[in-house]
Amino acid sequence: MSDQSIYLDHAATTPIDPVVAEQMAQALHLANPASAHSAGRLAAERVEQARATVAGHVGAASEQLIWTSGATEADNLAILGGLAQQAPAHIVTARTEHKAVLDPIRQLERGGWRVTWLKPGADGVVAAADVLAPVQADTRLVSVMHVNNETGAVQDIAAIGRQLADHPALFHVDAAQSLAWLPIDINAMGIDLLALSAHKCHGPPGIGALVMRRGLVRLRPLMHGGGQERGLRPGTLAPHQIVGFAAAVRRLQVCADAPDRVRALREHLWAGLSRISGVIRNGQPQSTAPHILNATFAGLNGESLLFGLPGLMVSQGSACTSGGQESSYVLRALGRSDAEARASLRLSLGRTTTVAEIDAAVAQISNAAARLTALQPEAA
Amino acid sequence: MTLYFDYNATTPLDPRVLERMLPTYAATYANASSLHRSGRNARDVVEQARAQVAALVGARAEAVVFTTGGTEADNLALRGVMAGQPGRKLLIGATEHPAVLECAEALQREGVPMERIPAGRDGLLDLAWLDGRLGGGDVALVSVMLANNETGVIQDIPAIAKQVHAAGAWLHCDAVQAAGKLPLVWNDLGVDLLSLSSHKLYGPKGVGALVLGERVVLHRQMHGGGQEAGLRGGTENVPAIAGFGAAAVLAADELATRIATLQQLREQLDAGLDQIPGVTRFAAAAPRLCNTTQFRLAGFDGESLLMALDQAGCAVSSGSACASGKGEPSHVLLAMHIPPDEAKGAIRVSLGVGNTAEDIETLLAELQRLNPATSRLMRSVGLGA
Amino acid sequence: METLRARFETLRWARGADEPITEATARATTPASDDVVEISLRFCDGGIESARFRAHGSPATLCAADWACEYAETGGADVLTLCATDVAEALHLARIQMPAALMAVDALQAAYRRWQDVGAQEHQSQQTVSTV
Repeated sequence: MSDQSIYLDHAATTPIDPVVAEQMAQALHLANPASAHSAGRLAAERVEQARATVAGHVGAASEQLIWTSGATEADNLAILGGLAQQAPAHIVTARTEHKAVLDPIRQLERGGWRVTWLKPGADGVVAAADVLAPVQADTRLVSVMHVNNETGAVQDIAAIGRQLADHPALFHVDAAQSLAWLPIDINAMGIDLLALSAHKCHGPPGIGALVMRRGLVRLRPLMHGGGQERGLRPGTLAPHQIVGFAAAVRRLQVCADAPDRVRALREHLWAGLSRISGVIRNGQPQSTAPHILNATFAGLNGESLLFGLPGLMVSQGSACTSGGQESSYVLRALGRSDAEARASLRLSLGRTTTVAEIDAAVAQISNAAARLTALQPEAA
Repeated sequence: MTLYFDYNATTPLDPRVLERMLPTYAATYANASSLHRSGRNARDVVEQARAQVAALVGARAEAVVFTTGGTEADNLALRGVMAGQPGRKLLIGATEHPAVLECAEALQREGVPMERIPAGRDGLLDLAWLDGRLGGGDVALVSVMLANNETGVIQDIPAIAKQVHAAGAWLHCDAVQAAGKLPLVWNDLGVDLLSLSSHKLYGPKGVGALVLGERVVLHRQMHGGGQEAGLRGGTENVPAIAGFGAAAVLAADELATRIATLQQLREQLDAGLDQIPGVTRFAAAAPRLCNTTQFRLAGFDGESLLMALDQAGCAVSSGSACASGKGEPSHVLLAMHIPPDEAKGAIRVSLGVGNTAEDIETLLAELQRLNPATSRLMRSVGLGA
Repeated sequence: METLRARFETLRWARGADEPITEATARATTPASDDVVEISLRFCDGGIESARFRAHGSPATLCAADWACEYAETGGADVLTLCATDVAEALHLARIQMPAALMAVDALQAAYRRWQDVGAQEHQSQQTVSTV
């Protein structure tokens, strides 16, 4: 990465914290934690210390946490593993969920499951009452993400969880995007299955976790062999990644002031961008996680806008869909037109983002927008 | 100072691989699926590694799908193929790794017709049996590992591939243990799917690959995000993938010297073991990996010998790491018709580039010391404690 | 891809704020998107003196319009024989970016014909005058 570039794509992935990298480098020599000899037992011990750290951060005990390769795998395991071997019934989820949730649910839908696809309000939030309204006696899964990866919209997970407490449906929450920014308590929020990812909170890519409600046993593994993670997720564990995840979580606890600081920076960013003519903010600041600003630059072509910002690392939606040609389904669900959705930028800040970076980003975006406007033919 | 003789469980990270990985942790931190410049840098790192891993097995770069390791690669191969072939049969070697074996058993519970290809006492699969089963014309996929993780026995994959293809089926090969210890040439092997793992060849843990033949139709198992040509959703683990690529380059470059060194050490080990009363080597007659020897010492069960050696500073395995701690006899040895009480005594020594001739002497001496037969002998002549 | 990126950075043939629209100006659109290309030509001694564009749309659309103007102004060749595939090849456009090349060529050729039509009328009127 060149020195001049400004990284405002922390919702896609975050730079690894140097403290985390240091601890990972020291853990790279660890043996296979499944080996019975002392080197293997040492590796297993480090894995278990990390398990207690990450589980504890979300109010869970070690035995409730399964390591996965990331949130995508955790979501797949929760949804496909949680509903496996059940006759097709009913699922409630939102259209604005991450693809890691949408895709397995669509897979179930093709297999005969009925799905209620909720539409969020203009602020990107699905009201708790709207989530609960379609829940029926044969609803087996309610899946709602904590923080939306494109708009940053925060769902009231605790309110949904409280009201689902007496319902047998599994309550699954993808918290990949919220772990770094909002407190999570699996018990207080009434969550059955919680998906986490390390690389969204200055930890390494390739490691995540599925945290399960105490006593939840009806999960079927997606993979078989080796028996690691109580058979729920076999395969040799990567101790350095696991140690890195725990180190990242401890850093979150050390940097506890980051959410407030980043929220203020994000508002500073909006103050600058709001002067550009035609700009619309997607989402309400009070119901948005601290790190994400999603804005539509109405009347401009999104691809050209992004092309004009070579030094600015931002996304035109989520990274996971940016390779494709479709516009953001999340923004379209909020009522944006196809062209507006394409003319939208997701700017996501991190705890290392500076005021100078924000000011430079505002200048670059303003210039790029002004240039495109000047290039447009006069109205016919 | 512990001497490590468990390279089939995992290998230490090569410092040169670490050197390749560290800058990717520090700098190229963008999501490889992002379109902006640092995302494209991350994508370049992934694509370079894809070509490097492909080169290790002589395959096309596009053929490589990165996974979280050998287990996921095996599961993706079996589930991904069988999902598109309802009603047709899956055949697996009786001595396969648990990643293939348990996945096949799970598929069987889900209604997929599955059978195990029996093995002989030497660990080699019964190819006449296989021919008979393939004659039915209803086999979709055959899965046979190239080199066994416990015994090191090498199957004749090119011959099996010919048989399998003649019957219109596909061949999956778990080459996790073979890669880096045997020359692998995609076209000569003739397989349709091949599993690899980084941490068995001095690369990082948490990454592996499934290599696919051009005509293979695979149904994805991990949904969401569309990464890896839609076959394996999830944000790419860029540093681990870069490390895997670097490890693959080193494995290819140094293959001949590694094989020669390990072969020599293992011959020293085998010769020494044959001098110890009460030692029986398993699969001694079959073609084996250059680094692996499995044996038992009369009077010991595997777990207690492992613990005794561990206390003496020698890390070995009683079978596969994946099955350790379960106290059950090795399914590989049972499939080779070894009686359960003998199989329970199994110890696996797997060598690697860090081992020396002195290490082997130390291990042999510790075995002599622990051996009830020799200890008694030494006591009777007034030598030992 | 880098060709597109390099051209996008300059877009030297864009019509500036102080440059007026000419009589030989034409627009092209595409049903595939809301992209628009507008090209204005200025003539001297029967040849193209300058070509300028305005456009709204993707980087491919802006760059194709820019390339077409450069071709018209400096190429010296007959703009009516220009093909969209020439533009696509020059800019390494992907198949899905072909509408950008088509719009640029359509706008350029339509502007050129407009001048031809205007010129023909003037010529005819002169002829009329001369025959009287």
